Amino acid sequence: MKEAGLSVGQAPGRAVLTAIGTTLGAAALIATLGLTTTISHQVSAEFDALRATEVLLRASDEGTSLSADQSDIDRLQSLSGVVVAGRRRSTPNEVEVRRMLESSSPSTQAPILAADPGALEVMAPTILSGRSYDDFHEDEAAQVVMLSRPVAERLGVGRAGTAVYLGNTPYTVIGIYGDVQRRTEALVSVMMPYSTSTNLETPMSEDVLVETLPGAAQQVAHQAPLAVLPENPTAVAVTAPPDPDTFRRTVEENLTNQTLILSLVAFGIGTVSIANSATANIFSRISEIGLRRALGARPRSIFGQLLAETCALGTVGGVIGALLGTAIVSLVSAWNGWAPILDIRVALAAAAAGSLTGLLAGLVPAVRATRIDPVVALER
Amino acid sequence: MMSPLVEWERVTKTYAGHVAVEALRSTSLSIDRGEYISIMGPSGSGKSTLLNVLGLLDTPTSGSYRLRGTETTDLPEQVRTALRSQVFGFVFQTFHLLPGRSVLTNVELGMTYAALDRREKRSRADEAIERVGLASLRNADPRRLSGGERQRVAIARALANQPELILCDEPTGQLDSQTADRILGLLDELNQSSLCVVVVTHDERVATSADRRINVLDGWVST
Repeated sequence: MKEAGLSVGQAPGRAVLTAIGTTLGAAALIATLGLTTTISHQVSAEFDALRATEVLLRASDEGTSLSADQSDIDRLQSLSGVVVAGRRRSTPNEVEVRRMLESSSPSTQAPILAADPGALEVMAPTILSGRSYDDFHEDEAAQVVMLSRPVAERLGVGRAGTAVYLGNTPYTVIGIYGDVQRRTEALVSVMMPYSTSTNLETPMSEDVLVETLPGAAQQVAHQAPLAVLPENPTAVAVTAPPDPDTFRRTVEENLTNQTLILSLVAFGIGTVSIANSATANIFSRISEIGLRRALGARPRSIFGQLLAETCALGTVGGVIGALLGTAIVSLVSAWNGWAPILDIRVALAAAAAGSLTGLLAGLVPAVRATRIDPVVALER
Repeated sequence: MMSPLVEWERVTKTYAGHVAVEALRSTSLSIDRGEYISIMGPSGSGKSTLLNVLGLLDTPTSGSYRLRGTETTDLPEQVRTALRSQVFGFVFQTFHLLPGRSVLTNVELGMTYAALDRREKRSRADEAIERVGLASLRNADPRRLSGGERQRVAIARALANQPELILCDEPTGQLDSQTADRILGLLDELNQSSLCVVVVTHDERVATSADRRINVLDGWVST
């Protein structure tokens, strides 16, 4: 081992170049695994904030509607974990919306989305002009609408207070909205109070939209059918977000498999790099090997020394790579304001993989070295 | 009366190949402890083969080789290796010093495969360096030394394991005449202290510095 260390140390530049493949392999493994875990936690954290707090209830039989009344909604809202719930109705197809009654006036096609104040609160549109409708408008089935920004632009409506027409019926534009927090179908719709939509002659499908507390979506999704349709809960289909832990694990597993393959490739390159360098090293040290044989080295001593050298290089490469990978995870996380997540066992495994790389890489060159004839070697 | 250190009886060495080469032909010789012998012959005469077989680096094709009274031709490889390490010290024309290591660690290399502890190795290395007059260059890098100093380091390495016989293959081949004389003087001093010295050379001047000459020509040895 001492001779191996002295031999490696007498040519540090060559040692660095030899070990670099293993260093990169170890660094790649640590960095990709660490960043994968770190990022998946960030992804799932953001995911939790919105998607994981929304539950949608529909009729399980396509073609039928989920007719829930206010008592059903009240029962739903009493469930633990429910923030707010409400009813919605929507047209399956787009409906013509005109600026004025005359057919020549600006018009556009847009779906109608009716939502009671509870469902409106869940969707949370951002008001750009005017205001949103409320309980009063819902109670009065007021002839009011909120236009999404694209619809308003196409109709040439710049502010609240004007009127638009659905069929021959005028509706007052109470507000214009832009983004919504949930349910992106609302982004290009015309919204109105739930009770107002019952006067529309066009067929509409119904659903119930629920906002839950973080982490409660799974539980609410399980209990909601019983609350909404206690006599026939199987007639209710629930759309709930996947369990965040499951999602996180799925993301991690997918990315981990890919990164493991990449890291194995990198380690493979490192092994070949060390093997090539070890082979070239032997040829440049033939006379040294002959000298050692003359001094009393047995073939197995030569074998052991060369194997120890490549193993040392692999180990050093693995350790440096592990440190480098850890530094990369820390720096990238700090740059993005993330909490770095790295399993120390992975770092240790990377260092150990470096040793194994060196061991495997050195086997063939070490065997070749034992076959060098000392007489021939000393003549060089 | 003590038996000779080396006894050869009809030793031959033939290299197989497309055309077999008889590098040594039926050679018989003996070397006593404390002798100073030169082996002289032109290039290709077989003198290097003689040195390699003598130093147990190569095995005879036939014949008997007794070292310290023990027949060596049928010894297992590890025993031959151990015997080589114990009995012989080697000095080469091109020094064969390892770069990047100091004079001290190069000399210690001569004892790497001996069963000695670190302190003993260090002590013997220092003694050998002192003996060749390089104590002041103990920690120097051999790459910074002159040819003569490098050869003295090589001689110190050969001495460190306290051999009974030093085999020198053209020890002055890379040196100028003045430096060569100093090296030959050192070998003479070592011989005066009862160390057996065998020098292989094609240089007449080197050959005459020895007490006995063995001539080699076309594989034939005459004493």
